[in-house]
Amino acid sequence: MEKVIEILNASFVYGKQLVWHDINLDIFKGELLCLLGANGCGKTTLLNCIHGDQTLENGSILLNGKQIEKMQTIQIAKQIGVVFQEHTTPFPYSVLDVVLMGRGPHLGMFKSPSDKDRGIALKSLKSMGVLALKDKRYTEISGGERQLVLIARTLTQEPEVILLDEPTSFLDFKNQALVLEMIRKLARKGLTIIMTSHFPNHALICADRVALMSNGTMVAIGETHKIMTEINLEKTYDIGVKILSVNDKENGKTIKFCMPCIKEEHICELLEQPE
Amino acid sequence: MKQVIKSLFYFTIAILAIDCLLCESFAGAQDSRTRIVIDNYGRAVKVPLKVKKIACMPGSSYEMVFMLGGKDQIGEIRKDHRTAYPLANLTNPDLINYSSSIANINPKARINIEEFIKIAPDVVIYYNVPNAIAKFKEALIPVYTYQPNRKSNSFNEAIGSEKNAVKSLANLLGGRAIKKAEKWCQYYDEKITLIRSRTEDIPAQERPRVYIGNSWGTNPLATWAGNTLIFAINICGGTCVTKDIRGARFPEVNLEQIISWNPDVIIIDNHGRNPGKVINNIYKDAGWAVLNAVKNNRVHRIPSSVFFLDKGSSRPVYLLWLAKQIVPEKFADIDMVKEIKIYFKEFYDYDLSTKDAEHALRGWDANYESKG
Amino acid sequence: MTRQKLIILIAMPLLIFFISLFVGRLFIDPVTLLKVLCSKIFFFIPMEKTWTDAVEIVVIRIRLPRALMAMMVGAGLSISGAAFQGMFNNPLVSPYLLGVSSGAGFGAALAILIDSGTIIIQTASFFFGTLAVVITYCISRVYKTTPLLMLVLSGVVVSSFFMALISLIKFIADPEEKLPTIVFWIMGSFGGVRLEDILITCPPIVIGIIGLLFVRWRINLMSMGDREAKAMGTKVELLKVIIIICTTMISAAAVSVCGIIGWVGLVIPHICRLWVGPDHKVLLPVTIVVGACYLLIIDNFARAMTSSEIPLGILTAIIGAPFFAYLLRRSKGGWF
Repeated sequence: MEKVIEILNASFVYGKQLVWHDINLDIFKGELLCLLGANGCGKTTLLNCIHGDQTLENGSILLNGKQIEKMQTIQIAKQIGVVFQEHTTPFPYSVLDVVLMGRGPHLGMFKSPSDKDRGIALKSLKSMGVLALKDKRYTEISGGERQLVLIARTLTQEPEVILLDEPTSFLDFKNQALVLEMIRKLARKGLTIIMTSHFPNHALICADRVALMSNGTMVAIGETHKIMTEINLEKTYDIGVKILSVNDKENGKTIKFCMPCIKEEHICELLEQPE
Repeated sequence: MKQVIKSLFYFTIAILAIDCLLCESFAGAQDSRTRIVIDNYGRAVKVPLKVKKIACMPGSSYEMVFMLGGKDQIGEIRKDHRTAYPLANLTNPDLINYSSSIANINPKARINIEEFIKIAPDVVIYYNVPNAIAKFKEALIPVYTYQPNRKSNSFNEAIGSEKNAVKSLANLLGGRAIKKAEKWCQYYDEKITLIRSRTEDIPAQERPRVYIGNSWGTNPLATWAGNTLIFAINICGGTCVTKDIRGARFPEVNLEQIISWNPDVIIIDNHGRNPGKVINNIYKDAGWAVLNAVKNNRVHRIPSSVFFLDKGSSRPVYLLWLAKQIVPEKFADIDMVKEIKIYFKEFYDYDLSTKDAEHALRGWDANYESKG
Repeated sequence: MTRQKLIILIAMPLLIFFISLFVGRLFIDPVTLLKVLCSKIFFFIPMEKTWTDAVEIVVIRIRLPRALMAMMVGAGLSISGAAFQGMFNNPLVSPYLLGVSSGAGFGAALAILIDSGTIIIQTASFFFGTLAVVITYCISRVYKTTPLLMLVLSGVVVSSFFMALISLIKFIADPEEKLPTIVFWIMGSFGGVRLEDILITCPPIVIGIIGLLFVRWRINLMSMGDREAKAMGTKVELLKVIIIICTTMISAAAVSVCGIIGWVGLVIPHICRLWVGPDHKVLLPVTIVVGACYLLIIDNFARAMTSSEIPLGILTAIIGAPFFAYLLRRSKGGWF
């Protein structure tokens, strides 16, 4: 398989603190890789290093064989699109205006988008299923819609790779599923996707491969079903984890999901005891 | 308990007794060394019998004290008094030796009272600014105001106020100054009578329209407003074009407004170091060229004096000069060189050379070297 | 943008400009005024001169340049404000954020203090206005980037520093003459504007405006924050420098000729955003027109209401502040 991104012996230092070290990770064309790890383990930093926003202390990151640190902002932006986790704007742009911003890497500093660019933006909106929102105020749509719009914006960049930082973090149950489904759809179309997540289940739902980060190193990297074991997850999160399998008879599939084991007794169990 | 009350009682008595003694000794000293003078705003000011160390702070204060013969009674002057007025240095070579250690004196400035305590003047001549005066009083520094009231309702009232200012200042100085003030008042009356006799019967519609510009020293569009100016121009045979402006004392107008007034005479304040340049620019400018004053070469610069000629004690000469500029045909016999020389002799006790007098009348440009 | 808005945008400034020529302290009957204008516009057609020199001077050399200057400054300050508000993604930012006005004020006060002529006052003011921004920029530069928060804070530092210097100059200025000059200068006025001033002020303001118009769409990206803008292929630092240079040229030129005119750069972008939305591609051209009209109307009051000039800074604040308060209430903090 073709490697799109290669991370070689990478380490990152924040101030004087070593955040992670000796990370080796290859990302292949058309796969969906999910980065899992506890809060503050440096997932987001790794993403930022991949698109050149932060720089490594040691090692290197190659994008299609080229060192990312030596690439120009525009060159990177043409190949990598990013959906950031935190995001605020005080200005109530229309959804279409926001999506149009994705044309940034393809337009000169002094240019404005043309009708052709508008067409691309509309196409991205359509592929995310939110075309109807195009004239709405960006500040007034729901969180799930906003996430889809932002993904549409990165699609408008026409990149090879999309980085998503916690795409489901502020969403409700249904919207989480919706966004994950859309991400899966993009991977199927041949885009290379790296996403971080707080929820191991999300990796189980949609990722081709998983990378588990803990204590500044990679615990394990590999295909989702091989890597997502109770032992690996316990190492990653430092708590007890149970993985359960359920047969989805309607779709004829086995669904796996994981649960943390908490030491306090479960309220539901307590309620059930008298019976 | 009784004992405590008793001892407290004795203690109080003792304190009161000491207090009275102290008071009396002070009162005794007061009789022999100080006197009370009333300043121009009715405040009683306790000063030494013979004031020897005056701090002159407002613009015209040095010039007025100097005119009244108080040159040896000055202890402190404002910074600009020392060098900004060439005729002041000419008439008083000692001027440069006076102390001028206090920075930033103007009606709006907050004073640094410690500076004044340090120089310990017999009396400070200051603006009529209540905050500052309260500060001086707190520091037990005698403070004296003399400035004429700017809000007079008639010319006579304005002149009366100016005369009171001089008299009041003379009162502070004491001695020969009182005679000098009387002489000055008489001189003022003579000049005003002279001017009035020639301008009084000019009908309103024949009076030249007068505009005074350059009040800030950089801009001919900055003018003056207020009754004092209106009355002065009126008495000198003209009409003040800015008479309707209320509020600001140094308002700015625009050229269109001046064109609509179309003044016959333009007086340029001798402020700033380049009034000559201001006048040159007026003559060069196509916009000003449409004015009667410019067409008829009637843009005049206020002459220079020990202070500005139009302020302080030299106002009688200024009014005579102004009248001559406004209605020259009525003052053809008045020789300003002669007049200014007389004023310098009589009031500054200085023999002004004809050349210097002419120079002063032209506003005393810096590039001219005095031989006087 | 609808056709109706486009027509308003073109017709409004022309109409207000034309009306302004009829407003003033000198009464000129409209027919004569039209004749004067026609004679100047169609100078190749010989026309009998039935008016006085004064009328021609007032129309051509006083009202015309002043109206043009007010429009230029209004347009410049408004577009600068809009660009800064976008760049700092903060709608409460004014074009004077980086200290240009206090720098320029200091330059002018210094020149007034040493008794300079108008040209030196303007040059010094322009120079120090620019210098203040350069200092702000240098202070906020860390590791080849200039974080927006650093820019804002250094702007505050530099502004206060130059403000203190202005106060110092006021402190040592001659109370009889120079103090009022400095005070009036800082309050702002178009009172002394001549035809020649237009020629001096025009190039920096026009170049600045054109520069901002070129990058106007990129400001949309900037308003998403530095990281996002960069991830979308924007050379953020270069763009910041371009915007800062353009706004500085505009505001330094404006301040050096007319003093510190507040509120225009803050209020106009809001009005325009209410009207045409926040997209900077549309917003920036609209602020030019609305800003020009606004300041022209205000200046008409300043020059024609009473026989003495009303300092412009006072009028813009008296009209601007309550209006801004009204917008605040109306938007309920929502900024649109």
